[in-house]
Formats: sequence, structure tokens, C-alpha cells
Amino acid sequence: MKEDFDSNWADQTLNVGRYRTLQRKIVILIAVAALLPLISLATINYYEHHSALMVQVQEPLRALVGKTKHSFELFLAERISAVSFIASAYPMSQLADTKFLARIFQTMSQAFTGFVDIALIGEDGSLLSYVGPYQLKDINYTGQPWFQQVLIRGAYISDVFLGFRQFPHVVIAVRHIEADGRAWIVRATLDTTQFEHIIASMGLEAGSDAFLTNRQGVLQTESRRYGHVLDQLPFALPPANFEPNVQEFQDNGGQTYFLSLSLVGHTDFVLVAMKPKPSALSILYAVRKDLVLVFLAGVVLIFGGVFTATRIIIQRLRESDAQRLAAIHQMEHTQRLSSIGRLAAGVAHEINNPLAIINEKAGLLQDLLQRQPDFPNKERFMQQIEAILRSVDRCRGITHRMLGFAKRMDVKIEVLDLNAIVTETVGFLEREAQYRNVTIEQRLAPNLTNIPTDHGQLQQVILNILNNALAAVTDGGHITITTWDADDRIGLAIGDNGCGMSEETLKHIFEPFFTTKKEKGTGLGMSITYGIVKRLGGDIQIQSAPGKGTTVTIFLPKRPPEGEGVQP
Amino acid sequence: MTPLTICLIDDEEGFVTTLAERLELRGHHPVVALTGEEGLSCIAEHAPHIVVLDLRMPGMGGMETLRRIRTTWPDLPVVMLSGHGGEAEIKSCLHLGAKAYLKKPTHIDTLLEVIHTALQAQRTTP
Amino acid sequence: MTLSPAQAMGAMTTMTTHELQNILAIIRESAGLMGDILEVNANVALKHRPKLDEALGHITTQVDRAKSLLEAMNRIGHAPDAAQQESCDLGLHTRALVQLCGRPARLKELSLQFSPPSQPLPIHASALQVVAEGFTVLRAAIEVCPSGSVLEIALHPGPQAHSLMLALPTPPPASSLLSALANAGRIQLQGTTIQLSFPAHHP
Repeated sequence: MKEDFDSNWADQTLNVGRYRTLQRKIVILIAVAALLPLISLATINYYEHHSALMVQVQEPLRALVGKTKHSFELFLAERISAVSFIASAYPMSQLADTKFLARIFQTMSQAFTGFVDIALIGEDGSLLSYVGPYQLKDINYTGQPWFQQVLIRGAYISDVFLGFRQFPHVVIAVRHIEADGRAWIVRATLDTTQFEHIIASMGLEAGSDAFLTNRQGVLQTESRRYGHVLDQLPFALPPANFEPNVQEFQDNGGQTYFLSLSLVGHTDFVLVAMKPKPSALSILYAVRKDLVLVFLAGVVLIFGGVFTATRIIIQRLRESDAQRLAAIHQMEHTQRLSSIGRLAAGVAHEINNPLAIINEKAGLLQDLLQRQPDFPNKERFMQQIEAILRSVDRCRGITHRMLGFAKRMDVKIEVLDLNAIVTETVGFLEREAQYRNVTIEQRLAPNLTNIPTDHGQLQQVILNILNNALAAVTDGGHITITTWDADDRIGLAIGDNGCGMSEETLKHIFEPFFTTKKEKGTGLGMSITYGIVKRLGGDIQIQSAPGKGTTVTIFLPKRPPEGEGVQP
Repeated sequence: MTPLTICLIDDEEGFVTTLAERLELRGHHPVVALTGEEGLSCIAEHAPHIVVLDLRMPGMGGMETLRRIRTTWPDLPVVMLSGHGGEAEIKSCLHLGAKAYLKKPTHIDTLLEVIHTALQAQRTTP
Repeated sequence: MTLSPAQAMGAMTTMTTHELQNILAIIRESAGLMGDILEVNANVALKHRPKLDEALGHITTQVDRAKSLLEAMNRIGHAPDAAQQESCDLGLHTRALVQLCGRPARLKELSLQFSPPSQPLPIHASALQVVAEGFTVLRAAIEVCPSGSVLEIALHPGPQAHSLMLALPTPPPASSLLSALANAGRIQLQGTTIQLSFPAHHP
């Protein structure tokens, strides 16, 4: 409840919007400060991981293409060597002998798989001898492109073509020149099934693809994705060289691949291997998903933490501001109180100076007159001096009391005679009473028990009630003061035969600022009286009837009020 | 009763001259000073038996005057007589060597009694 | 039903000052009576007649001096009254404060120059606030004035605000309470002039 009150109070006094803005600013600041490293860390981590994974994904592909390319090169080199050996090891006359050629072919086929046939061709392009599954005779190859190529290069491997058997082949042709200038060409046909074997040995994953093409993009082996041998690739291949490289590549179907390709030596062939990117990077995507999740969780956690912490800080700040404000209010309040107190204390001190002069002047008069012979009214004169000296003494007591409350408002409890206080207090008002012909009758119980009470405060109470009584009675009125013993308390009643009070007035009589004396007075009279009596541990009652008068009755305890020590 | 030379130092002229007059009527020799500075030269000039000193005065002030008297004339008894006087002020005056602290207004007989007591104490404890 | 401490303090102060005023009135009456007796015995040869007359005159003067102090204090004691919580008269309270600050000023051999305003200066502030702030500023000003100088206190009426103006003989040191109050915006300090303003009250 208290906290609610405090914060409500603070809300009203302090600008609430200020705290909201402050909270927002702090949250943003801390969040940015905390999130920035997190974001950069996550980004860096992602890209590092990405590039590492790329290497990890691309490198095997590159290696595989490299290895396979070498396999192809080795395969073809062996076969070129074999054909080349045959072309150079035997004279033309022997090679032209079909039987001899058939024997050689048999031996060669045993050593190297894949040869389909072999032929000896003269420099003029005419078929000289042939061993193979076809019945070939009297053919001239002069017009064939491979023939022109072999004349120029000396050795030649053709693109794949479908032979007469409708089966993919390549031609290996080697030209041999004798020392005497004669030349001939040995031409062998290879079954490209071997190519398929080499590619199959790559051990491709599902979704991946590998094939040979020529430089024009015509498939030389089967492709899982782009068709059969001699089909045209539906896309243009990126430029290739002899070192396999890996690149990202999007085919016409829109799918992205890692593509590695390399030229195969001695040929026009390009070895191509493709691996779909999503599958290659599935680990990365999984990592990225985890990363995003962790990141989001981190953000939520940071925001939650920051928000909670900020709320607590702001709450504390608000509370401390409210406390400080209350302290300032309290301080200003005490300052005001202390300014009256200090001024009152100053006056209490300062008033002693004129009083001291009055005292000395009266004393001097006394001194001088004591040295004078009698004169009429001398006794009365001396009595007046005595009266002045007594008055000064009374003032002394009052300033002392004023100093007391001006410094602190504590109650100073002493064991006192109530009757004496009553008599003394009546003395203050006697002159006014006499002037207005009001009688103040004192019906004081003899041998009244002394009670622990505060002299000054009790005197104020009596003075206040007597003042009210004097105000209430008409000239020639009557006031009665009664004291009596009432078991564990002492009673004090002050009654008058004045105008009295209505029931309505009586109801409000103890409220601060309530007064019936419109023209003057603090308006605090009865409420002060009430406060003091309560502080002294007593009770106060008022009986009054309009036109009949008022009686104020006070009961004071014979024991000291709780928590108040008695000072002897 | 031996007549005493009493130095009265107080800025309230009306008070101090009347007190001086009354002391004179009682056979003493009061000398009056209205400031602390004046008081010091007055003591030097008249060599009083005792000093009656006010606390709040313009200029040097009672506390400083008391300090100087105690330094220059350590055997000269001083009685404070002031309208002011918080407990702290009374304490520091007595600490500085004042014989007594009286609050204004005071009865002349009380003052003389205090003066005599102070002088007696001075004689017994030199 | 409970009083604020300031109200209780004020009430006790006013009661005490009233009490003292009553007693002073008695002293005055006694002095008057003594004067009458001397008058009646004008033809009797008295040894110290001029001295007696003078002493009686002094008593009356000192009673008046004490009374004016008490009147000023009485004004201050009434400051926490309910009637003066919304508005009060700046002139009356300033006058009371100046009167009560007379002694500390005299101790510094400082003369306070104040001419009370000819018309009432109603302000929209509690009397208690005026007393507290006025007292603080006046005391702080007396503190910084060199001894033997003159502190001028004036009241400046204005359409929006009435001000308490203090003209110091020298500018206050930066370390003084006055500078601190000026920094806190409680007073305006310009060179040697201090201004404490309160909104004017138009009933």
C-alpha cells in the first residue's frame, strides 16, 4: 500500500513521461551494445563456416574431377601408345597383312580393353587392311575430318560418334612416317562403354551428375540429367582449362550446382561433374538454422534481461527521486519551522536586554528611594517598584520557557502543583478581568496531589480556556475554576456563565482553525488545547448550552504519560 | 565590606550605566566600558578586582575579550552577565576560565554574591 | 485535529509573546503610576528627583523597545495561520524580519536601512514561506556584509510580482549561501543586488 502511495505520489510530482523516455533510451542503448557483438559474431561465424564448408564441399569435387580426368587421360594415353606402338613397331607390309594385323589386334585387345577394330590406312586415305566386326574394303578416308586431323597432328582422338553398329565409338588414329618418307596411319576404334565405367567409378551421390562433353557441349557419355550420348547440352559450359576448378552454376532448369570441369588432355573432351548446391550445403543450412535460432533466443533473452533490469533500475530511480523530493519537502518544512524557532529563540534572548535595563532602572529607583526621607505615597511607590521587579522576574521565566520550546518542542515533565499553576495563570488575566468587572472564582481542592506534567504547556491550556471564557462572558460575568481529586486523575473545570455554544459549534470545537471569535485569534485555540492535553496524557470535555454558559473539564493523570521521564 | 573596583563591559549603555550607579550606591568603584577593546584598556588603566562581561557585543565580542583577559591577566576573575546564553556558550565561557555565568536580568544582590564568591575562590586558590 | 509543527510552534510563540506583552503592559502601568506619584509630590523636595524621572523614562523606553520586538515576533508567530496560507502581506512580514534582525546587524556594526512600503503588498505565497525565505536571505546577507557597512532593504511593488530587494555594499563571495541560493534559483543575484520575488496577489 505504502509503495503504491509513494509511486502514485511520485507519479503526480515527477514527470512520468521522463522515466518512460529514459527507460526506452536505456533499453535501446544496452540492447544495441549487447546485440551488436552478437550480430557481428553470428555473421562472422556464419561466413567463416560458410567458406569452410565451401572448401569442404568443393575440394572433394575438384579432387574427384582431377582424379577422373587423370583416369581418362591415362586410359586414352595407354591406348594411343598401344596404337602408336603398332604403327611404329611393324613395317607397313606386315601391317597390310590382315592375318598379321588380326594377330596383333588380338594381343592388343587382351592387354587393353575397349578396342573394337583396327585398320591400316595409306597416306592417300585408302584402307589397306582391316580387322574388326565390319566388312570394310576399298574405302577412302581422304574426305574424313579425322584423316585431315591426323595428317596435321600425327595422333588424333575423335569425338564420340555412332558407328555403323549404332554404338558410341571414338577413333584413335596415329600416323607413322618411315625414314624413307613413306607414311601410314593406324586407326583403331574404341568402344566408349569404358568411359561410362570410368565415370561410374567416381561413385556419384544421388542428384549429382558427371559426364564428358566435347567443346561444343555435345555429350560424349551418358548424363543422368541432360540426356544421352551425342545430345546437345541445354546450356553453355563455362570456359574450362586443364586444371579442374569449381564454380557455382545455374542450369537452365534453375537449379544451382557446384560445377567442376576440366579439359582432358590429348582430346577435345571436357570432363564435367555437378553436385546440387542445396544438398552440398545442407549442413550449412542446418548450421544456419541453429545459428538463427540461437541468435533469436539470444535477442529475446537480451531484450528480456535488459527490459527487466531497466525496469528495476528505473523503479529504484523513481523511488529514490520520490524519497529525495519528500526529503526536500521535509527539509523546507523543517526550515520553515526552524526559522520561526530561531527567530523566537533570538527574541527570547534579545528581550532580556530591555528587561535587564528595566530591572536595573527599577533597582536604582529602589536604591535611591531607600536613601530618601518619607514622602506621601512612598510606600505605594516602593510597591510599584517591587511590582516591576516581580514582572521582570516573570518575564525571565517566560523567555526561558520560550527558549525551551523554540529550541525543541519536547514536553518537559515535572511534578507540579496544579493549584499553583492555576493561581499563577489567573494572575495573567486578572487585570483584564478586573477591568471588565468579571469575577474569577477559584474553588481549589486543598492538599491536591502533585502531578507529573509540563508547566508551560499546562499553563497554556489554562490560559487558553480562560481566554475563551473571558471572551464568552459579558462584562460583570462570572468564571469558576474548580480542581478536585478524581481517583487516579485530577480534575480541573473552568466554567463560565457566558453566551455558550450551539451544538453545531460544539461539534467542531476541536478542529484546527475553528473559531467563534471572528475578529481575532489564531483560530487554533481549542485544537491546540486539545493537542496539549492529549500530549500530557489527559482528557478534555466540553459542556455548553447557548445562553447558559460553557464548562471545560480536563482530567490529568497522576502518573506520568507513557514514555515521558519525570524530571525532578 | 571592602569597596571593590569592578570593570563592567557591556554594549547596552542604559543597562551598564545604571548598574554602575547602583554599585556605586553600594560603595563600590565601577568602571564602565562599552566594547571589548575599550574594556581591555580599561582593565589596564584601573586594575579592577573583577570584571563583569557581556557576551554579545559589536566588534571583538565577549568570548574573544574573555580569552584576551585570561591571557593578559590570568589572575583576574571574570563573571559573565548576558541576556544570551545557550548551553554551549555557557560551557565554553566556563571552559575559558569565567568564574560564573549569570543571565540578564539578574538581581543586583545575586550579582554581588557571585562576585564575592569568585573573589573568595580566587584568594583561596592562588 | 492535529496541528502542523509550524502551527504549534507559531501558536506557542504568539501565546508567549502575548503573555510577555501583558506583563510589559503591567510594568508600563506601574511606571506610569510612579510617575503620577512623583507628579503629585512635585512640591516635596526629593534628593535625586531628576534621576528618578530619568529612570522612569528609561523604563518606559525599554518597555516600548521590548514591545516592538514582541510585536514583530508576534507577526512571525502568526505566519503559519490558516488565514495566511494562500496569501499574505509582504510588507508586514519583511518589516517584522528586519526588526528581528536588528540585533545581529548591530553586533556586526551593520546598519539596516529599511523604509516600510506605504501601501499593502499582497502576495500569493504563504506567510510561512515568506518568513522562512526572507529570514534565510536576510541572515545570509548580514553574514556577508563587511562590518560598519550599510545593508539597504527595499520592497518593490510590481504588476506581476512584488519583490524584496537587498542592496549589499559588496558582491557576495562565490562560496556564500547567497550565491548558492542564487545558483539554486531561489533568489536572483546581480552584482550587489539580491531580489526575492513573490507573485502578486489580486483578490
